[in-house]
Amino acid sequence: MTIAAVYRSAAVAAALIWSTSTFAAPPDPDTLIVGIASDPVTLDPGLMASYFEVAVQFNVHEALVSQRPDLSLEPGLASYECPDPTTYDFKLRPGLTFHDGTPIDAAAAKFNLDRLLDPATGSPRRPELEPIDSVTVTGPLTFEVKLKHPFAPLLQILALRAGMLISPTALKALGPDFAAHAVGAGPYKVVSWTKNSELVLERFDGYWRGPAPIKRIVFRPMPDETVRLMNLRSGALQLVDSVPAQSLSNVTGDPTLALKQTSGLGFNAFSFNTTRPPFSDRDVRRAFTLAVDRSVIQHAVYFDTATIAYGAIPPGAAWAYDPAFAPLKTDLPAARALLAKTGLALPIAVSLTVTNDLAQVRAAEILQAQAARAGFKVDIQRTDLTSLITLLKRRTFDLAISPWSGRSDPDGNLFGFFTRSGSANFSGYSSPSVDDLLQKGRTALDLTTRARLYRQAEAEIAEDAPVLFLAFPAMLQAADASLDWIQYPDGALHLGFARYK
Amino acid sequence: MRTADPTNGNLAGNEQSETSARRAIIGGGVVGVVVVLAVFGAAMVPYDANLPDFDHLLAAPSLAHPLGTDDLGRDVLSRLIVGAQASVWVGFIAVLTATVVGTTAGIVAAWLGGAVDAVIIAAVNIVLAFPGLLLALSLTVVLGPGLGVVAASQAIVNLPLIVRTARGRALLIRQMPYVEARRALGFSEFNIMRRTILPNSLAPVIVQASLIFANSVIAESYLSFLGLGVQPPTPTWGTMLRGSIGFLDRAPWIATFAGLSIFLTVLGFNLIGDALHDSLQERDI
Amino acid sequence: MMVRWLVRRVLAIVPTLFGVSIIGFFLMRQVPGDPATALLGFEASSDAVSALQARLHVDQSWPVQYFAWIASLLQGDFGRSLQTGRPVGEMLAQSFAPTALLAVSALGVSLAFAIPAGVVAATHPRSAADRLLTLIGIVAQSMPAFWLGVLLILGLSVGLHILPSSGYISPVVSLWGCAMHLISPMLTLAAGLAAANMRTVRSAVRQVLSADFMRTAKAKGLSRAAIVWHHGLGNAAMPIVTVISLQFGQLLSGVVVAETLFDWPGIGKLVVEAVFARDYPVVEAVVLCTAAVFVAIGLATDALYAAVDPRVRLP
Repeated sequence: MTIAAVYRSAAVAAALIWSTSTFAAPPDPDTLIVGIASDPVTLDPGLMASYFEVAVQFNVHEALVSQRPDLSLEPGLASYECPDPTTYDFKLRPGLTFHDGTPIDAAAAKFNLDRLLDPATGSPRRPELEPIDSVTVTGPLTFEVKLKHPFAPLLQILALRAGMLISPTALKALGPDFAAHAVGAGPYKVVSWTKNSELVLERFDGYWRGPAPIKRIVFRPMPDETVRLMNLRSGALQLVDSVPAQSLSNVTGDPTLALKQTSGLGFNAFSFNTTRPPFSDRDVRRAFTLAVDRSVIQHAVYFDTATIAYGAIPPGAAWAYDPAFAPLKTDLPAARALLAKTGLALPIAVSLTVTNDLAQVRAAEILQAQAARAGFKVDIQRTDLTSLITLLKRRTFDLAISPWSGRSDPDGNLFGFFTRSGSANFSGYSSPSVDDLLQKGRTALDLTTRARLYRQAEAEIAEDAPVLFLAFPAMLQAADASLDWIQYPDGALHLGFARYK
Repeated sequence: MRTADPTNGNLAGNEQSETSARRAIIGGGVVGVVVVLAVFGAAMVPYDANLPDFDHLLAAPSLAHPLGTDDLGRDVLSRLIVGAQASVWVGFIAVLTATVVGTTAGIVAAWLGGAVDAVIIAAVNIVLAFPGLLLALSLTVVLGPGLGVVAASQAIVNLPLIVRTARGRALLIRQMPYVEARRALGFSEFNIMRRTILPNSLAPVIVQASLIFANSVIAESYLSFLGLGVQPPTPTWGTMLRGSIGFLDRAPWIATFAGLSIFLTVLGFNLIGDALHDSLQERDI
Repeated sequence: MMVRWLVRRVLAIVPTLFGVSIIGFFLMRQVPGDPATALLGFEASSDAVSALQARLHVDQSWPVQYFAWIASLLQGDFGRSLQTGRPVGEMLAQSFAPTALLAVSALGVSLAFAIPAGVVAATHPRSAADRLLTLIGIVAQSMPAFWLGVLLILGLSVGLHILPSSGYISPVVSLWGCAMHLISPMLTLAAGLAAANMRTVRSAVRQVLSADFMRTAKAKGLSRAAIVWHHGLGNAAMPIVTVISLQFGQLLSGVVVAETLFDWPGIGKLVVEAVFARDYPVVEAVVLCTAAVFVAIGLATDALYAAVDPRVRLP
């Protein structure tokens, strides 16, 4: 109490000094400085694999298809037609070039898609493009993509990293240096990139929508969320990614700042290892799930900003999301009864693995306390991200966090996690019926049918409880009130549309 | 014979010992409290240090919670008290390992000389040149976070200091007349090493040990800060301090008290180390 | 004589650095996970991971990897980062300037405090000033660096808003901005150094003042200030230099913490990220370079001693 009071009064007394402080230069109308959570790993869209590039990617690169903020699609670099379920015809806009002047033609587009499909490239995009059978150039600006089987999410996928075109000449000239100097077709081109310090972009006048309003964009990686927000408040930044939920009041109470909030596409979830005891027993998984009170996580981890999750379909995918879906809601007596039925000796010792991220550790500690009430003895293991991924893939865990940044199409949130050969099926889940539903969801082309299939799959998955869904975290971003910009549900920054009022 | 130690002053002996004694008492008092808390703390805390209370998240200090609660509503005072355990344990294991291994290696190197000495010195130089925090960091990622790893890495990092101190001391004592006398009297080399050199080399090692203890307490907090401390929910001062950083503006008391605990403990050990160092100067050999 | 001594000392460095490089190399290979897994993230299929492993040459046996690395190193090539694909030498060079700026300025500030404070304490033993400075010294030495950093952020940035809480601005871009960003991390790092240095200066000066020639100087009628300045500090310089050279290792650990806390884009931050990303070449290069700098500083100190006092030129 007293200490908080001291800090508060110091802050008030210092308001004057702050207003005249010189380190925060007045915002330059030609420059937008953005605070992001982490430095991008690579600027080559074909090799991007982390969430860290999401803030940057759409500013340097442009995709064949363009996604609107409501997730609907429109032509991007190319217009498209689908004459039959396994054929897509693309027509590129005429007269466009990459940042280096290389023309954007059908040969360049084919080069890009072939590169991602080539196993030697080692692109993380390959699994999602796997349904593509061939790419054929049919004219200077037209090409045809032939599929092995109908694949509904294709256009959604081509609106993201897989559809971003890079300059073939620049790739050849730069070789391994391309990752640091990416040459694409987006609204901004790369000027310089100092690792962990700043990435400077400059307006590309040849952008197909016309030159962007703001001349220069600087991305500054600042891993600490509190620090990021402090810099926004001091005026050193004009836009920040991932505002910490516990500090929302700082933003909403400040008239010089504007908060944007939308329900994201990703989920926070823990995978049960269904391939070894004790979670190979469905009743044990269900008991654990029943012991969890998600509203506590929502309150103590997300400070009431997230949406409680029972499945993988996010509220952002409005056509498929079912707000009433809530299987295996908290029920402690039922959880205890299930465990008693299994005949296992209580408490059941299980390990729970998370990364060092403070919010994840907090969630883990809550799960530990809640599961203890049903008869689990949870041992929390903290590790770093790479170790976590390794352990998930080797299935050497009992219960481990497996968060997902989310995709605009529910297929991207379900197929990899729950089909038997799925690349993110860490729990080792195996259900022929769910496989079948998700496969049908890919090939069915109208949304009503697809929504029905996905909801049914989600219900079947929930009964088997291979994954403990906790929340759909909200996308929280804040900017200087003078900045006019558009928020996307995936958290991507499309700064080609940003301008100062 | 006086050693060429730069910190050797020219104060009158009794005045100096007065200051040393005062420092030793203050330092010993602080360390004593910490050790008592580490041993008995878990039994005397007002709340279960690991029990969340979701209705009282980040509560400011009050009568019910004199130092407030943390982000899961746990009592900060109770967690600080229980956290003493981790700090003492890490320091104790690190000091014990480093002194036992280091003193042995140092004396053996001094006594046997030649190739053995050269190998030990080379190993010491390698460990010394290896960036310490990086060693601790990689060891933690290899073995998984935990108190044992923190202690082990601190033992390794501080080993060169002990080996060098013990070796230097042993080399010095070896040439002392009374050692020569014992040799002339027909005592075995091992006997001389154990009975004469070891006890006489220990004093400066003990001074270093108190510094290692202080360093280990700080290292635990560094590693926790990098996200590699002990497994939750076990409270340690380092993990508490790190966890508080996201709430600096809302709940500054957590960072303040966790940091204060580390600071006072380290201060206690430094005071003891200082006092020991000074009294050693007087006594000399 | 001096040259031969120097050559022998330089040659003695080789096995140390060799040992450091081997430990660094094999320690990193013990870390679970590999760069391809780190790069490709959650969704990657196992064949994508093995394809990338092959492309990064991390699927070869360890000795093969080690000797390939040493071979290119001897040609002055640190290789490329597995994570970003950039030349490691370039990444090191980019990170070196901020770290050097931070470390050197912290050392400078610590000396700017330690030398006058140490001299005052030494020339006025048992005075109020001496006691106060000793107290400040031991308090500063006991302060965990990052707690001090947190307190600085709380006080100067969150509370008073007079300093930016983190980040780095190159002095080339803005000298003022650079200085403002430098203050907090520098103070975090300087506190412990200042304390240790002050204690060294104090005891070194005090010891010199008690020496016989000081009495002679006093008899010659030199003023007290002149004695302290010309004889005291001059003769106390060597122990001070020694202590500073030994502080390098401690400085590096402090740098990692200060850089992480204040988002300072230096070597410390680079290497911590590289460990987490399993970016072997970057970790190995940083380990080797810091070890080399550490050894070189030690050698320079010894050489200085040897130049001053030939008796030191023993193995």
